[in-house]
Amino acid sequence: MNEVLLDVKGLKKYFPIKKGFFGQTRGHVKAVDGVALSVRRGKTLGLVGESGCGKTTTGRSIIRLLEPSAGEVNFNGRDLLKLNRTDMREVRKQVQIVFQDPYSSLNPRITVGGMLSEILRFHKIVPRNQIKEKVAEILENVGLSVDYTGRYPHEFSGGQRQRIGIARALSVDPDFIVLDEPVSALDVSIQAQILNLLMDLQSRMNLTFLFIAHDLSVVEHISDEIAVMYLGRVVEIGSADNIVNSPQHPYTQALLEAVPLPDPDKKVERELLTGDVPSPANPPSGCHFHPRCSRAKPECSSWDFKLISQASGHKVACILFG
Amino acid sequence: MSETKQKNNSYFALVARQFRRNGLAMAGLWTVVVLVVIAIGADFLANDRPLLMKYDGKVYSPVIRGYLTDLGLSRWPADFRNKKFKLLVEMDGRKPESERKIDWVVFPIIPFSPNDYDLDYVITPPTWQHWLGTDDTGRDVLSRMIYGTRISLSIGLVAVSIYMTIGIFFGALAGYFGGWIDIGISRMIELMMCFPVFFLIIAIVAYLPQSIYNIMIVIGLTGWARVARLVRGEFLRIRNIDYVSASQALGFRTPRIIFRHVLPNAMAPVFVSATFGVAVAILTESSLSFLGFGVPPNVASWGSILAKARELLPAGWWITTFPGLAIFLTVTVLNLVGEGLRDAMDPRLVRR
Repeated sequence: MNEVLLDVKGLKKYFPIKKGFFGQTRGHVKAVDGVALSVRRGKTLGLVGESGCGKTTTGRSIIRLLEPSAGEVNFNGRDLLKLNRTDMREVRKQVQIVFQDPYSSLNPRITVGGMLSEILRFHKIVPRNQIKEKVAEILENVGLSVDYTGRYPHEFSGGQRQRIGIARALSVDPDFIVLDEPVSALDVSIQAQILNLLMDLQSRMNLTFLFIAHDLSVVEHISDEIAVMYLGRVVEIGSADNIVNSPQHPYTQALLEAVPLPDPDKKVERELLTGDVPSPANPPSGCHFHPRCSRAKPECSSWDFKLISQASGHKVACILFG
Repeated sequence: MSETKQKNNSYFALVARQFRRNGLAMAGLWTVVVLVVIAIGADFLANDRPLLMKYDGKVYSPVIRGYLTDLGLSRWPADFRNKKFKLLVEMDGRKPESERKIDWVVFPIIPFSPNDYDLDYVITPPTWQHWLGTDDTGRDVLSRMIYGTRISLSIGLVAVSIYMTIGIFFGALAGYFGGWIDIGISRMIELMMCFPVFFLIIAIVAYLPQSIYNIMIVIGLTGWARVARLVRGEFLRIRNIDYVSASQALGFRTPRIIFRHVLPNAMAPVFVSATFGVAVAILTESSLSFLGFGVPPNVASWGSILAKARELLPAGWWITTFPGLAIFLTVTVLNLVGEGLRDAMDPRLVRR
């Protein structure tokens, strides 16, 4: 099964900057600026980058929680951006999202059972008389006890809440889930549990994931392919193995350098990134990364951005490979 | 440890538990309950009709029959047509024993209606008969105050319900949708906030016929701006929380998201503000009645009793003191309840 389930082309999301009494538009924040990626059915694409690079905006634009400014999101052969409200409501049963913060992502006034049964009723997932059984089944799938149905979110720990968030996404039997930094807010010991749960669910239910994270070490375990984002653009994309073991783009290399090593005695020469991510409202010309790049050349500032295919099968957007 | 009793942990149960710890607020709440009981049961507490009487071998309840005849479900027996029961009892007592028709009669604890005048007892200080004295036409002050409770509480409740509905509606629209809707509604809110509301109310009421319904409506139509601003702020905050995004991602329709997922989380400060709002509305009605713009002259309200009594001062101190105290007490206990609610709903103060 190698069919492409999700194929994103030229995705752009610009936020207008408004100023003055009448709110005139004085430019745009180019949070996502022409992202292209594709995920095959049953596989996981990891999307990594620093804070503010547009990973979350990309994830939310794909499932139309934010309206993208331009581009195509082909899901199962249909362009989601061209669907009307009614059709999109149907598609929402197939695309779901899990959020980063397990505290703000659950409505504090609704019990776990109430939340799940509302979804089952609304989308008519199962007949009314089977809702109870279905709720129990969903909870069991994410490793929670059926006894929890009457409890409110504040009665759970962070890890349990994240399981509830996953249960919510699973309740509509989706094909594709955007995982928006699902483990970043959790303790390290809990992170592993949740990652294992996600991988287990993926193999049992043939789910397709877009896994967003800022930490390459988290993504490399779960992903089949990895895309690295910098300032609204994908700068390198390829198989997880290739990206982790033979990164090509200077930015990917720098990100990998930043991954902590498990052996504290091992001293390595690190070439760590300096400076902050530039403002996406006013990005550097040419290759956005050139002001921070250790291998930058004068031509970098006027280079036309493009992804260049490599012999190893992955794509890099860097002048050194063109 | 096995937990036999399932503890109810809904937000409401948590708030109730917090609230119960606050002695002053609980005292306030009980006082409010007593006031509500007085307002609802006014007819049974102070009335010149008997609660029960045995007349001509049959038991009647003129108080209850009064309700039924008002609803058109019953009619007065011929002997009760003029509804002057005290006179009936008195006349019956003068007849020789064999001709008496009344076996026994039970009057309410205060056997005076608010508009029963008795020119033999004008401006009498508190006595066993008239517990809080009488006014310049011999009407029982306590009876008038009991009916005043009904006016005050119903005006407070209805007026606040009206402006809460309007305020929540506009605030929710502005906060959830943003953009031009928000700009339009926000300017309307600012416009309303610019008016000194009390003078606006006086100006409007001056053109309307005097009635308690007009007062309810006018207070209701002028008070919504504060609520709208509060709700708008809450919606702006909650709209961007992930659980609302999750509802959108699940394809829920906008009304469901607004009413089931956003509004319940926005209500806490609104409830607190409503409690204070009832107190303010009661004060507004009293002030209006005191100034003569309020309830019609024959209707007893705390403010109108005060207004009448002011002309009599320094005579008749009891006519001003007790209604004044009633206003003071009601506004104070409502504020205590409001503050108790605010503290109970404040997540930073939660003790388990």
